[in-house]
Amino acid sequence: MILATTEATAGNAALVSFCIYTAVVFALAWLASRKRAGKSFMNEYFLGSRNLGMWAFAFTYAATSASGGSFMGFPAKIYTYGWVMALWIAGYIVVPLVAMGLISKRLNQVARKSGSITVPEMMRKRLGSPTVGQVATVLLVFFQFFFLLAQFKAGAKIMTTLLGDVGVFIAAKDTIESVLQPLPWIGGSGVDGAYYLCLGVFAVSVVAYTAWGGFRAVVWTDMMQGAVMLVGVVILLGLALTQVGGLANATREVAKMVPPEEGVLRMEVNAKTKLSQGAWFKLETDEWVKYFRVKKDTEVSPAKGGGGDEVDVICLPQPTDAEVKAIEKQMGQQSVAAIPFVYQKESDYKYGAGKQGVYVSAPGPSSTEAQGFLPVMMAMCFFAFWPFAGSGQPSYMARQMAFKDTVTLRRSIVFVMIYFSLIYFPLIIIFTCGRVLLPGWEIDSDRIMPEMAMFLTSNAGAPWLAGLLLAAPFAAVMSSVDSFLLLFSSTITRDVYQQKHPDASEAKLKKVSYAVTIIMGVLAVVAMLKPPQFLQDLIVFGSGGLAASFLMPVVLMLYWPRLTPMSTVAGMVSGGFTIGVIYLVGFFVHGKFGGFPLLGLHPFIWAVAVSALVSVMAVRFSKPTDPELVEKYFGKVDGRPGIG
Amino acid sequence: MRGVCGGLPCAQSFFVASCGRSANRLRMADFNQRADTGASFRQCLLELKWMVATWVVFFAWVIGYSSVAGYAVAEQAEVQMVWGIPRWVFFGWLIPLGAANVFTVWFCLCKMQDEPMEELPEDMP
Repeated sequence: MILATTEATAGNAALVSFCIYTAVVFALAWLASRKRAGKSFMNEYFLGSRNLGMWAFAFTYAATSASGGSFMGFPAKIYTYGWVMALWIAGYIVVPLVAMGLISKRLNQVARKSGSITVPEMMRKRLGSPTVGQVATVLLVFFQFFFLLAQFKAGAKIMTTLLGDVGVFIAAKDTIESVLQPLPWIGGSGVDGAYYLCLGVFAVSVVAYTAWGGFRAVVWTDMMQGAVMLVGVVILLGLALTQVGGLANATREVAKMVPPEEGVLRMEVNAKTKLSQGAWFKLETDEWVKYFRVKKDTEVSPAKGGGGDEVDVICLPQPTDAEVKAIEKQMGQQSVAAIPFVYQKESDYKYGAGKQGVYVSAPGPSSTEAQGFLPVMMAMCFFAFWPFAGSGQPSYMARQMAFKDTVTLRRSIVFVMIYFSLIYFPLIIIFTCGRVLLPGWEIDSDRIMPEMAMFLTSNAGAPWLAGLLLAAPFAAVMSSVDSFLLLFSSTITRDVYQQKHPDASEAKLKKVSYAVTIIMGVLAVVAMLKPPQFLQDLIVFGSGGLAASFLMPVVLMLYWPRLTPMSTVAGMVSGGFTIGVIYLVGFFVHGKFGGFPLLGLHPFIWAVAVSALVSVMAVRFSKPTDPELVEKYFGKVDGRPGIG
Repeated sequence: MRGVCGGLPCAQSFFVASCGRSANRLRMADFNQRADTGASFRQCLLELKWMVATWVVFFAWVIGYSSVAGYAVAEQAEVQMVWGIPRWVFFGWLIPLGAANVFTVWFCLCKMQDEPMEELPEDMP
C-alpha cells in the first residue's frame, strides 16, 4: 500500500512536470515564430539566420547528440555489461574536439560562401553538380528516416513509463484499447493502448512545435532540454552514490556478481494465476540460494498433461549479499502466492557464465558472443566510430552551418567537452550502482533508467523528483527528433521543391516546409504502429549509413580541391551501399537484422574505408571540377588553387 | 560587428585572459578585414591535422593501455581500485579523459585561430 502511494505520487509529479515542460516548449516555439518576422524565411527558419551564439550552439549540438540512446540504451548497456562500457564509450574523450572541430570551421565558411542552407545544397554548389545534390538528398532522407523511427518509439515508451500510474492516463488508455481492439492489423486482444496514446501525443507535440518555431525554436528547446538532462544526471549521481554506500562499495559488489542464466519455471497451479513481469521466486537449500525473476507478464494455467505450465525467467545462480538484501526487500513488497515450481536452465552466457569479475573487466559478459561483449578489435572500432561518425551526421552539420563566428565555435567545443564529461562519466557510475541497488533488470534492461529514477527518489523520500529526472531522457529524445524533422523539412523544401520552383514565394515555401514536417511525422507514426523488434539495430544502421555516405565525401569536398562531382557521387553511393551489403550479409549469416563484423571490424569502418578509396580513385577517371569553383572555395597560392 | 570588453575586442580579451599571451602573437584575425579564402583554408587544414594527430595519440593511449590492463584482469573477483574505479578504467579512461580535456581547452583557446566570416550572398536556391 505504501509502495502504491509512492508510485502514484511519482506518477502525478511526472504528469505535472510533463505539462510544464510541454507548455515551455510551446512558449519557446511561439517566441521563435515572432522572431522570424521581417527576416528571410529560409535562412531564419532553417538556420536561425546563422547567428547562434556559444550557449545556443553548444547546447543544441550537445542535446542533439544525446539522443534517446544516451539515456535509455546506454544505461541499459552499462547495467548489462558493467565497467567495460567505459572502454566502449572511450572515444567520447575526443568527440568535442574531433567531431566538432574537424569540419566545423571550414563547413561554416563554405556554407556561407555558397549561401547554402542544407548539406546537399552545399555539396551541389561546391562541386557545381545537381547530380551530387540529388544523390545526397536521397541518401540523407533514406538513412535519416531509420534514425527518426527509432526515436519515435523511444519517445512513446518513455512517456508510457512517465505517465503509467496517472489516473487520467489509465482511463484514456482503456478507452483507446476498447476503440482499437476491433480494428484489423493493430487491433486484437493484446493491443497496447498506452503505447498508441503516447505515440500520438509525442508525435503531435514534437511536430507542432518544430513546424511552428523552426530552427530557432528547436535550438531554444534544445538549450532547455540540455539543461534538464544535466540537472537530472547530477541529481541521480548524488542519490545513487549515497544509497549504494559509495562507489568503492558498488564496484566491489559488482566484481563479485556473475551473469544470470536463462530458463523456465514449471509451475503447477490449480487455477489460472497471473504473474507480473519482475515477480521474484526463490529456491534455497542449506548451502545455496537461487533467485528467479519473471521476464514478462504471464498467465499460468493448470497443465492438462502434467509437468506444469512454463514461465520464462532469468536465474541469479550465485547472488551476492547485496543482491540477496535488495531482492528480499522487493520480495517483501510483492504479493505473489507461493506456487510450487521446478527450474529448468535453458541457456547460459556464452562469455562470463559462472565467473566473477566479468563486470569490472574487459571484454565484459555476453549472452551471444563467445569472445565477450567488447573484443579489442571492436573497442578500437568504437574509438573511431564515436568521433568520426559524429562528424559525418548531417543533423550535426546543419548546426555547424549556423554558428555566428569562430570565437563561438572555440568556446562551444570547450563547453561541450565539459558537458559530455558531466553526462557520460556519471552515467557509468549511476548504473554501476544500479546493478547493486536493483538486481535482476536484465529482464528488460531498457527500463533501468526510469526504474532507477523512481527507486532513488522514493528511497530519498522525494518521489516528486522523479518527474524531473524522467524528463531528462524524454528531453533527449525530443531534442533529437525535432532536429531530424527540421533536417527533412529543409532538405526536401530546398533541394527538391525549390529546385523545381526557383521562383516560389516565401509564403509557398512556408507551406511546403510545414507540410513536409507534418508528413514526415505522420509517416513515422504509421511506421511505428507496429514497431519492429530490432530497433537498436535500426539506429546503428541509420547513423552508420549516414556517416558512411557523408563523412569522407564531405571531408574531401572541404579539404581537397581536386575532388570531382563524379568521385563525390561514387564515394557517397559506395559508402551507403557497403553498409547495406554488410547488413544484408549479417541478416543471412545470423538470421536477424544486424551488421556482420567482417574480420572483427565494425561495419562503419569498412564502409568509410570503401567510401574514401572509391572517392580518391574515381578522381582519376572523372571530369575535373570547374576551376572557378575551386578558386572560389580554396583561393589561390602561387597561381594555383588552394594547396592542390 | 562584435562587442568590446575593456577596450579590447571580446575575442582578443578572452584569449589574453585564457592564455596570458598577447593577442597579436596569437595571430588573431581582424573581423573587419575581408576573408582570405586561401589562407583560411590552409589554416583549417592545419587544424584538421592537429585534431587527427590528437585522436591518434589518445587512441594509442586508451586502446594500448586498456587492451593490456583491462583484458588481463578478466575473471578476477578481487578488483584493484583507485577512488572506487577499477584501476584499468582509471588509468585507461579517466586520466586520458582529463588529459584530453586539458588539451582541448589549450587547443581551442590558444591554438585555434579565428577567421573573418564570409558575407552571405543573395539567397539563391
